[in-house]
Amino acid sequence: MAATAVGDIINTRESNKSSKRQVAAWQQQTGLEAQRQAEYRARAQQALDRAIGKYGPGEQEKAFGDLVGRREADISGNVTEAAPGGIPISSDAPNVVKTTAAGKLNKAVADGREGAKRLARLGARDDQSLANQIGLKTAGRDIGVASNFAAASAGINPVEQAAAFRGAYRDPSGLGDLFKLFGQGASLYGFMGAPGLGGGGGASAPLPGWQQGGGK
Amino acid sequence: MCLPKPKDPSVDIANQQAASARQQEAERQARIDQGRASIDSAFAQYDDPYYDKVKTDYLGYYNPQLDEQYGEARKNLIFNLARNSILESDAGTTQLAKLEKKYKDQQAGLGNAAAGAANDARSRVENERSTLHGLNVNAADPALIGERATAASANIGAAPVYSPLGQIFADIINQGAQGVTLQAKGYPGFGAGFPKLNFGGSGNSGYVVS
Repeated sequence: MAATAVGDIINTRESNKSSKRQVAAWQQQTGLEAQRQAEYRARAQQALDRAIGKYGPGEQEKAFGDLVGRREADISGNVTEAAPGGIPISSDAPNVVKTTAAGKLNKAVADGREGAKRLARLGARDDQSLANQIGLKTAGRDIGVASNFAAASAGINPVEQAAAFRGAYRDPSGLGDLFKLFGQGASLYGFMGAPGLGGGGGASAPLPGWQQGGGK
Repeated sequence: MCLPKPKDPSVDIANQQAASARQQEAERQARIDQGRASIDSAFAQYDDPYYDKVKTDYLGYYNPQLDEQYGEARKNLIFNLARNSILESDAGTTQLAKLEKKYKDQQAGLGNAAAGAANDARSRVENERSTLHGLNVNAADPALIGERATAASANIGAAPVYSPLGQIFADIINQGAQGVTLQAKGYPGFGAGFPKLNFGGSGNSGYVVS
């Protein structure tokens, strides 16, 4: 009985050990995958932060200011000064005529430049819209790639987990079974008073009716 | 009973399959990253100096047309005004100043349109780049993507069709000519100077048209 119990204990312990090993192997694969997923998430988060960063407090205004400056340079840079003699006045014309004509010409140029500035602010909105679009598209693309990697990796993980689980399984050593067999043999020996394991038992009394033939 | 059981071959197979799947995925990701690098490398030519060049080319095409039209319009307006001896008058100088203002506005407009053309080019480039990145993720074939990226980047470089400028200063010239004609006929024309009074013997009384 004791040997059988020891056999059971050994078998149970071995089985538990094997199960623990299997669970640990499974969890190890889960942990490795979690680590990979964290890397993908960080990659995606980085892209998202880059995109969101452009919408932080004051960021759009700052970017707009830069874009206005650039647009203004593009537009005003193409507006030339008034050509010398823009309004041809004879040299003997009265001074008031010359002054008035020059004033009108200068005003035309100044008005043109002011218009250019206003146009630059308008155009800079388009520039900003385009820059935002490109930024979001780039972030979306990067996040998409990270997401694609994450999904594919997650798809492989169950295969790895199952393989690790199976690989970690260990057959019982057989020691428990040996004990149990010994215990069973001993039990049989005890119950029957006969050689349980094929040896010994010579001193025991024969069972009644045993080996007595047909009552001769 | 105590002998070790023969190893289950399916365990090795499962391990190999898992390792192989992971290896293939790692290679796929590496190929995608490599394809991505190829795309970015092919598109590296589309940098800020490139878009500045687009603006310069745009202005290089349109500015001379504008200058030519302006020169022609100015010459015609001056002749018209001079023919009617009002070149140095308030009306004459106002017309010339208007022409100048329109010229400046058009120059500003071209500068703005040049920036817009650069934006269009940037937009086209980014669209093409996005398409290639999408293909790259799906194909995970850097060689194919590299070829496509090179071809696509070369095609983007082709300039779109630009139309020549229309008649920019026609209204000012027409307005000038009309004003001169009206002035010659005794109408105020440009709204300047004294109206022409007809004291002729045709029986018509003098008139003032305001």
